[in-house]
Amino acid sequence: MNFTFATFLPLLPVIVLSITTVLLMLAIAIKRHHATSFWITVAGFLLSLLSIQFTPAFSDSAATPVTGLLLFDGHAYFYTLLMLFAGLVCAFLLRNFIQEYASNREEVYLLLLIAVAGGLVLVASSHMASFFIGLELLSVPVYGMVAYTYERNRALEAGVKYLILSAAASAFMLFGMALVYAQVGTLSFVGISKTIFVTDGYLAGFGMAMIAIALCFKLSLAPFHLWTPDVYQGAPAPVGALLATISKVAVLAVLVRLLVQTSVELTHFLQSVFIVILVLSIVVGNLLALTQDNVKRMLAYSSIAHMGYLFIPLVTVNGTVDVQAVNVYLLAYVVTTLGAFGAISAMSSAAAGDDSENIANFRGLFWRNPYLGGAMVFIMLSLAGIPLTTGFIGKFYVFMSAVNASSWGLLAALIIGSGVGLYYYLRLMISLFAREQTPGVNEVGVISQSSVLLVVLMAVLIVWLGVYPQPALEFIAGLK
Amino acid sequence: MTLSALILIPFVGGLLCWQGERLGAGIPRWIALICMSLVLAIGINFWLAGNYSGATAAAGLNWQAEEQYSWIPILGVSIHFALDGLSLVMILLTGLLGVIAVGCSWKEISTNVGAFHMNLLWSLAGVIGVFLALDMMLFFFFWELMLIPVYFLISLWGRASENKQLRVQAATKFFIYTQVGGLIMLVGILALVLVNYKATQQLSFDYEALLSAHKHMSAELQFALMLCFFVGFAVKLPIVPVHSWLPDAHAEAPTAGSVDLAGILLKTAGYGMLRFTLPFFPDASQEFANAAMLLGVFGIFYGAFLAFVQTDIKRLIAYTSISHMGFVLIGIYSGNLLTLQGLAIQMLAHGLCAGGLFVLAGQLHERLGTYDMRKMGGLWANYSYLPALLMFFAAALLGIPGTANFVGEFLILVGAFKVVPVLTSVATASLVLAGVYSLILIHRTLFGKSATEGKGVDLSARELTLVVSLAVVLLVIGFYPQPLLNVSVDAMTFIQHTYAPVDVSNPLLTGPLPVGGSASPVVTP
Repeated sequence: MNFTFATFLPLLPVIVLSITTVLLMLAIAIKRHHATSFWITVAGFLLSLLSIQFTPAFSDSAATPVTGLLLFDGHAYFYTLLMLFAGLVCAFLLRNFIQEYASNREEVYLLLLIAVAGGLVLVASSHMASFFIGLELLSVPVYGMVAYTYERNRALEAGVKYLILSAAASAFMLFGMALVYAQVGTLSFVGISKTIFVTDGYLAGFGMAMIAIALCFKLSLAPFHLWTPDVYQGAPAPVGALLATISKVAVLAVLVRLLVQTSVELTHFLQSVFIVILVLSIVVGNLLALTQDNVKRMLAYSSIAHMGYLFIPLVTVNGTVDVQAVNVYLLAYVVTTLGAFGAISAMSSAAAGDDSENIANFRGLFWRNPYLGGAMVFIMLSLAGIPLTTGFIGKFYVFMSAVNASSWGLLAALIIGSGVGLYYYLRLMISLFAREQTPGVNEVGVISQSSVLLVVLMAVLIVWLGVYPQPALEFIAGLK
Repeated sequence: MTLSALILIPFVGGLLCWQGERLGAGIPRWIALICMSLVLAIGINFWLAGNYSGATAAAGLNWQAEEQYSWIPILGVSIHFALDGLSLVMILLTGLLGVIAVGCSWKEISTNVGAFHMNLLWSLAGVIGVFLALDMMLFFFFWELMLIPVYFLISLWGRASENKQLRVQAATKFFIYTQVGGLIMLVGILALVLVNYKATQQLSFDYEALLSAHKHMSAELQFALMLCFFVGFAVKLPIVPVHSWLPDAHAEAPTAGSVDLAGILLKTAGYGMLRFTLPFFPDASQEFANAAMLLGVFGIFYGAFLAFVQTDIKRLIAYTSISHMGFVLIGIYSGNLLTLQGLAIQMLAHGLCAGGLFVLAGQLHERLGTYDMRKMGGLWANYSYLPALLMFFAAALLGIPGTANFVGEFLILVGAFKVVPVLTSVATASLVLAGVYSLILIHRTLFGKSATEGKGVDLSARELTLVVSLAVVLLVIGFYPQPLLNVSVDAMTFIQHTYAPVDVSNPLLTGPLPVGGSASPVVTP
């Protein structure tokens, strides 16, 4: 194979991020300086975002393979955009959050950059090897980030919990890959899909099931969701934002590619498994979120339910996947989730023992900080999927996908889930307006104004994408 | 532009109210009053300028004004407003009750006046949007949007009881009920659109494009989709098995919220059934008509019985609403011109009458500090205007001739009798119960031993104007309903033509009746 510069051009966003990582590492080694590290990170994300423009697939929408491992197409770049955007927001949230932290603050950006780079590799992977490398590159820094403020309550516990369970899932996945390889003798997605039903044996089917389990674990779908609330609760709020957006987007993207590229029979088989899992997720997520007084835990359970909704377009049509609906929903989910975690993050600081994550912290927030409170109203409405917000547009596409396939059972689950979900979203929303405050609780932390600005921006984005979704929808429909 | 203005005026007015509070607590009230008066004035202007009983009455749609803007072309969604007689009647009602709602909260609301009026105006903007939207997606947007302000109205400015959780619970219940109903309707809308898309290769949410979609689907599918729409509207109407949010919401809502809910929001459901369910699914609706009318009759009696045993005056009025909505359901599914015309009057009359009663209940609450009828009594001796007006509205509620309620109920019953004589006879018997609950309302509040000592503060000029104007409108329509019937005739004729009426079950009554029958009851000049 002849490697030229053009071969690696599609990799530009990943390369930019990697160079930034190295530069940042050197900068920290020379002199610790929080602001510098932060701005290097931001510059890295911005340059990476800009560099997407120069990649071939983005301009002419042709799928470009890089060696046999990666495949860059329109969808990969869409997810790249989404993750870089989320990474940028997380960086800003992290800066305000960690400003007052007593010990080392700079390495967290390093971890963030590596995690996002891992995500970028993951969304483009078309081979089991790159799939695994991307997944580990994404996950390993996140263990560190979850436990970064290790002396705070619960952080270490959450980090270790995530590490051990994640490692177990990775082991499942590796074993599954080995089983698949034992039968079909290839590791590329296309190769597997061509040979899996030609060769005899049950190993590959079993292996694919194990891989699916690992992916469900990463996406925290029931019944593999048990780690989610604890880790979300223990992780610092900006890291929670990263966990809930970047790692979900990346894993979902690779799952979509797996489903699209493997043969119809296998997709069909996986879909029938996923139907059970998604209904379970909707039920479990919504029911357990009902009684949570901790907003992070509530968001964790609600993200389980959202992943359930998101799986509906994956399974409705036998053998194919409604990628457009998945992408629209992902866009809505990422923007809204960033806003929700951003709001918690704005009220919290690494210097305090706990984040301001109890519903009591949100009581009367609208009167103390109308901007943050007002933004929070739209974020909750968007999570609940009420019109005027992007959450509704996402839900609308999921509905359309399910109606189009006449999956009435899934629609019933979706409607019931949304109805139950309303209860806890409204509960948080109305507590923002409470007049009487719980003494002592509301004073926790100083509200970081620049984080508030960021959350307000998210709210504006939520409303804009909800009221005038045409450009975004057109962009997504044009992806190939 | 005028149609968009009808929605934009309250919407922008709401924003002004919110910010205007900085200039003084009185500013939002005046802004809101001016906005709603403007809406009413535009509505009256449409009434005077338009021709609602034109020659096109045979089967065409008679839009008096129409506007269309591009919105989400990729989904075939556009901003499409249009106004015909039916929408106009509803908008006149909204404008009038909007003014009343602003007026009745003049003294009642003292905290966050700006935000209160913003929510009030936005809910009214949503309702007007529902009455004007001709694109199903746009309709759904407004349908859901009007819930959020009402949710805030109830949960933030609701009844000041010791347990604030109660009103939040009532508001949440209201929201969840209507939202789930809305999502079920969304399924129906999407299925309808996709069926139409597969048949014509055109993705469109437009009303007129979807009118023929039922020709492309099997009878079972049509029935299922009709049920989706029906459930969505039934929750809002409300029809008995899904009604339980209504009494709670009313009991906890501020007066303006109750006026808004009973007077206008419930009517959106009746409007939706007329405008969408019947024309979209004519065959399935016919098949379903008997079941729907049975539900209606059941609701009439259920509401009436429960109204009788209430001790809270607002809950009593809420249950009478459920009872009256039963009549609306019978009127819709009987589907001949008489009942449809009666419906327009009935919805209007019920809105005005329930609105007036809620305003009076609010005024009683301002004076006595309670809605509990056990703590009232003997009011006749203490006030001069209030008891008489309460008596008038109670009489209107039971449908005394001379009030608009009588005209509406009479037309519905006469029309429905030709279609389902047995059911109609049963429903007519419920008018006795209406008498019973109206009398118990008057008896408990006005007569007996006075619970409070001495003369109370009587109605101020503002309060008197509000209530008397409602009473006057009820009387005018009661004595001379013809101008109103002329407004709705074209729209109703269209609906009747798309929804061929249920087969007449009694062959003795097939011929034209002297009161109208197959001939139009409306004499156009």
